[in-house]
Amino acid sequence: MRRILAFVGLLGLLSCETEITDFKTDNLSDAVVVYGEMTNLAGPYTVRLNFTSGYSPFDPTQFQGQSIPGADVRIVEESGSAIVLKEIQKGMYQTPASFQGQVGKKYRLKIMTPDGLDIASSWQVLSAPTELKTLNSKYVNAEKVEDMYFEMQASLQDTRGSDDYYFIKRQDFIQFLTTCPTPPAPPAPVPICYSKCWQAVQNTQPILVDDAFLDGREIKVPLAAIPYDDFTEWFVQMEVYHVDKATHQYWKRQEDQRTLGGGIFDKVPAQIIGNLTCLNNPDRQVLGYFMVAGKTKKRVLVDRYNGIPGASYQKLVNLVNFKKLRYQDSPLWDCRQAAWIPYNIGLNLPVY
Amino acid sequence: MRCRLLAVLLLISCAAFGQKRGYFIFSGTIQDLETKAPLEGASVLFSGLSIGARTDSLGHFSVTLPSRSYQIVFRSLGYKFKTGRVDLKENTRMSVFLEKAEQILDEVVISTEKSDANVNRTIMGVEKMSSKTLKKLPNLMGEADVIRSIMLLPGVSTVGEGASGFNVRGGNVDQNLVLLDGVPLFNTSHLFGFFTGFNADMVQDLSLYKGGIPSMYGGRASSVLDVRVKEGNFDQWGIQGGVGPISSRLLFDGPLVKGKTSLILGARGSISDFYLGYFPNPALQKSKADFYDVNFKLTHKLNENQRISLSGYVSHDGFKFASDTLYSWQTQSISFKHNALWGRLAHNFTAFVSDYRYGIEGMKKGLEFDWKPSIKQQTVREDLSLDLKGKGRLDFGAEFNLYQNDAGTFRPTSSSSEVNEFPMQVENSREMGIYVGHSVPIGKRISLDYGLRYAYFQLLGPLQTFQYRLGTPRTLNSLTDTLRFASSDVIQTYGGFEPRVSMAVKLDSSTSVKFGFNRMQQFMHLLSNTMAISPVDIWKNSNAYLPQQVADQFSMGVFKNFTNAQNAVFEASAEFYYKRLANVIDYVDGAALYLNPTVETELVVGKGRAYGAEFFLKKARGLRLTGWVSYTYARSFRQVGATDGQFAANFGKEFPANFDMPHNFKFVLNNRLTKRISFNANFTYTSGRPITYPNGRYKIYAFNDLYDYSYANGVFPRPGLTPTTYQYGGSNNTFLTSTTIRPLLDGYSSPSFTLRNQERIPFYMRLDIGFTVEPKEGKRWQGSWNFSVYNILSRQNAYSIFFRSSTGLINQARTYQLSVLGAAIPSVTYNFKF
Repeated sequence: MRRILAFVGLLGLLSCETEITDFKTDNLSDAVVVYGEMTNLAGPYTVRLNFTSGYSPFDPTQFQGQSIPGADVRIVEESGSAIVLKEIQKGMYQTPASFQGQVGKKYRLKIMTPDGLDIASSWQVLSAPTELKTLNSKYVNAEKVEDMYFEMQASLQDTRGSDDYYFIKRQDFIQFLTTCPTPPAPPAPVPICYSKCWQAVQNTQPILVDDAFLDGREIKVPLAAIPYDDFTEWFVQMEVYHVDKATHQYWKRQEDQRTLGGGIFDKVPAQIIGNLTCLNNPDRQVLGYFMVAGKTKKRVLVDRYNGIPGASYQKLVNLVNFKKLRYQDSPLWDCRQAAWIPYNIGLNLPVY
Repeated sequence: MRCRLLAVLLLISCAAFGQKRGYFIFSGTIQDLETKAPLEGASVLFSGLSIGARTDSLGHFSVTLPSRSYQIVFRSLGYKFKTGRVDLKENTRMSVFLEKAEQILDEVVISTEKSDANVNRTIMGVEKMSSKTLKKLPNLMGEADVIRSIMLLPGVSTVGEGASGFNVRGGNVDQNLVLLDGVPLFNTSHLFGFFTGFNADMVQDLSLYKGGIPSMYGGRASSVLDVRVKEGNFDQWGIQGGVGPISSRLLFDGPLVKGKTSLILGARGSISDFYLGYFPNPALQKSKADFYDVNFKLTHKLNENQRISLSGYVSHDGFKFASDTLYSWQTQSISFKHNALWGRLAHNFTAFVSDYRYGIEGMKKGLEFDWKPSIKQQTVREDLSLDLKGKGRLDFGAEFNLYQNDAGTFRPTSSSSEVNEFPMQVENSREMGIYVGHSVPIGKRISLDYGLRYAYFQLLGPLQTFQYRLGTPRTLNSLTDTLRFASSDVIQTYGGFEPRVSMAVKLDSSTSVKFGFNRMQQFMHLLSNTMAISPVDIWKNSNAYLPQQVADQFSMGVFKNFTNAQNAVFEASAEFYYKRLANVIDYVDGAALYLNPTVETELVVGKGRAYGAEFFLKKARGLRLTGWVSYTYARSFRQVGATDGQFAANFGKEFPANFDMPHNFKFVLNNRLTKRISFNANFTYTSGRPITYPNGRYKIYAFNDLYDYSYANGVFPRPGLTPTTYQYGGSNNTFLTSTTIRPLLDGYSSPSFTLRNQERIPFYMRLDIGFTVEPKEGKRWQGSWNFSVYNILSRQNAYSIFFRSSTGLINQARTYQLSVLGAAIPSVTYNFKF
């Protein structure tokens, strides 16, 4: 036992990571946080302005920073023409729907806040978009239903001779089924039963890919698998942004910060500054990013019903009943009203 | 001009090598009677004279004396003294063998020197430790360990448990010159830093120079750890070894030709891979954590005054934790030495070749690769020491080093691997040093050690370098030109004098005050922007953007020895130092250092300063109890301003170095309970190391397309129903109540950081205890046991506090604390010798 303990200790398993839940700071930062993006796809494009919030993970009042309303926000083209963004919500600014980015052109974001901060991004070139070469799924069988899954596969065909960087968003749309109540006795009319809706849990996890050591090759995009925990439809939507090195590095540093383990290979923490600066007060930090990139979208259906071995399907049916995934205890006629489903977007998928 | 000046100094030195009328050389060797091992630091005292002689690392001594008869006393710590008589009418030589003191209860904890050496020695900031002391300290998992042991000395610190390397007086880890029998090591660790990379059984003794660094040492800016390896026994064969929970050791030594040629061969290997197969956890079964090291030394006596030796060292580590990536690092070196004593001149010639390889091997199917940077060093050096007939000693010499620093080409390792080759360059450089040092007594009270070293560095072709636009910080965007140099080209040169001065003023027989100044230069730099250095951090030569690091240290100290009624000897000292550092390397935030051909765009150069006070009280000899207690107050700062070629770090403001830990308290105790059993304990308290804390948090709203779409199209907000539960009649009842479906605007949550290193993690405190059971006397097989408990307080010391960004719905950036070895770790080790 002593030897085992000693070796476990050696591997660092006697180490322990504990969350410090009472660590709290008031908002000691006066940094402005900007995030916006524009692409070659049709707008409108949105820019959000906020302040930082206090570092208090469990304080709902500090969930997000205060928004900055009343700012003058513009996207400037290299020719000098500017598009003014309209404030449609507090701190949320949007371009006219008619405005669309053009590949090869340079753009920058210019902001004048109500308290006189003159903020600008660096010039960003809108790069040519890159499409996913493949996007598909493959069912993987197993003995236990909990171990069955759909492997997701996606790849990009990299262009030889250039350094290419990709920022990818993944958004999943999952169909869910509800149970309608028992119909009223005749002659009362039977209401229409809407039991198939879509859930679209917001995914804020970027996927970063680059062609380092893989120049000109087909690059695999790492994608998390889809569980076989129901036989409803599941769509995976991928948005590929062909970004520049600086943008990729910005997100890479954010991801490094997210995956810290506190160990010896962690980089020393430091503020992650993007491509925005305050021109009339350089000491005033501006956080966030104005991302300009060529973008493509692709959506694929993962069919969780057809082509599944019968025995496996039966095991799934048992699991669905056992876990009451049809919400028999909360029957309702219209699944759109199921407020307990996070990001229940109703009967229809967003337009693709 | 500088070289000429040194040449003149050397000529003067050589001119002094002549025989003065009426004076004769008395020389010889002092060895252990039983093992015939040379005794370093043994003293030779003469009747009627205030001066004496001390033996060098080969047990040699030499002194020039007026012609007459002398009563002589030979002394060495832990040995019975011996007296003799000599009638000096001609040059005379004597071999002396000292017998080990019998089972005495006096125990010297940390010295191979005379107990008053700390007062009498001119230089300060020197710590010496014998292998005996090394093995008596409580240790982690039964492994006697050199670097863990020196951590117990004042002025030495580390950034955390298991971190590789050590920091001395505010210097970076790469600023320590670690010599294993004269060969510099670029990596001193096994298992990332939990253990030292060489076998403590092979160690004769070690000296740590924190200040007052003799002029023969150069190449690193902060300190020197000189570890001497044992020689084999010239008379009989012996075997010793040990079995511990982490590794096992075996050491052979004995004569190949009796009295003439000896061999010592030691090997140590981890047995952790053996355990891994038995773990039910698949992740552990796929893991790998092995290391081994092998040392040998072959010594041949040409005659009584001359010997040659050939030494070798191999060290290897491989680590993989359930992943497809194998980290490995290994050192190989072979060295040749010729030592001789010619009259009053001691000569030491060394030539060695070393090869340090490190890197990563990727084993993921279809993406197999390896990346193996390396440093090859070839060195010749000559060190000479001349006795000046009662006027001190003159040390002089020169060294020449060639380096081949390969930044490591990234290569596919299988035909099915899809990765492309990514070539990196090999940097060639040479570094030369020439030095002279003079130790001289001035009157009866003052002794002076002064010296001068000149170091010269050249970066050589073939190499491709980059030029950047003048007047703007170096970035990829400011790259203007690529320069290609041929193999005959000298690309960049740096050089400079390094004065070294130490002076001791003896106030009385047991008290002295010392002053010192030394300058050190460093031309090879370790690039690391992680919390602690990692074994795959790359080394970089000085170039146009990285001038040599320069450290100037001023120090002074007061030393006092006293004894009590029981004849116990106490040594007390207080040392103060101020160090200024030029051209220290720092990094742009988030710098990418690996496989970066334009790595200079990620580096910035600044300055630093460190100061501190070290208070030390040691009970060097006692009937049962020995040990020491020390308190150190030490600070270390860095500052990187913006220049024409670089951005500032931390807005140009000064910030504490990553290893700035002001308060250090250390306590080491060794209590001999019986003749065979001793109890050891050590206690360490240090302030927490600096950390950059967040001053807020922010959301990056990069993932709100769906949210925006839904609001724009009237999907949200909308009425909905949510289950509500109430209790009635002892049962839960659920019904649906009205609500509004309104998803939260959410994003990527990140901490916002403020000025660098302005806060600290909690303090570090650890108590280790151990018992050593010595072998029974008179037995051929000598077995000893070591029982120890590391961190017996089971304190979960904070290794780090860190702040994670967060994704996912309603997740926020959060704070975590990591503790390494946060439990008491018992171990038992059996050592044997026959």
